[in-house]
Amino acid sequence: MSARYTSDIETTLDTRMKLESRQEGEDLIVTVGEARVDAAIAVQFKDGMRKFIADGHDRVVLDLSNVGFLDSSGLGAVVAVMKLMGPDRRLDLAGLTPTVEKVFRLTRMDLVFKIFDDLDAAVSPSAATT
Amino acid sequence: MPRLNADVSGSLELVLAEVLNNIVKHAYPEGQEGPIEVSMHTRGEDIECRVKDFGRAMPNEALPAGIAPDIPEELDCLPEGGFGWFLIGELAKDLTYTRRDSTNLFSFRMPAGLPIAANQTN
Repeated sequence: MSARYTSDIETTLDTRMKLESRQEGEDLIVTVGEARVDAAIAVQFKDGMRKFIADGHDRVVLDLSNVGFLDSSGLGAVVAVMKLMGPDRRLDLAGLTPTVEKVFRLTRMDLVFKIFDDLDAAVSPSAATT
Repeated sequence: MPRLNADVSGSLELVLAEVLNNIVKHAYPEGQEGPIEVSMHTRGEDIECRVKDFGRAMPNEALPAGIAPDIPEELDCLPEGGFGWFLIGELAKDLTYTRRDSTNLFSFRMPAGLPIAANQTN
């Protein structure tokens, strides 16, 4: 899945956080355009995501396929975004690269999030209901 | 330094990031500046790392327990922090911390599966 930057990025340029969103059926797909989600950028990530989830989609899929590195601060920010969405909405994850997957697995956060191999799997008709 | 496979280099980067984040946040807090010295050597099959700073001591001059945060059922109670030292402890071995002469020294080994023969010139 190629990264296409839409006008959404304009709203986040001030924080230097590359996030791209698009509608896919009822879902919102947010693709992170950063190679790293770490302590240096975790707060910007959370702030950038805040405006996407404010649109009220019941399901947001976070595409992490461009992210090669995520540390504990980045993990905390992803968890924080899910908490901001509240218990009646879902933040699913797609496209975890090996080191990012390792962080989720070791901290057992892979049990908290629904994680898909890639965006295609995440937006398949069965994915939204499983 | 031998070439490391992606799994090992990813783990090493993660542990170093967590150690360095901790120093920046706690040893040199609130805009304080100071040097951080990082050195790496091969040691048997492992990479041995030492990270030294000249900032504040760790609380009680000791490493934190590094226990995995609980993952509760309730969304609101999910932890957003406290994973750093746990990840360090999971990925690195022989982690030590020494406070001496106003410096903090962390050392750890990252299992790297290096061929021993390659290190015999050390």
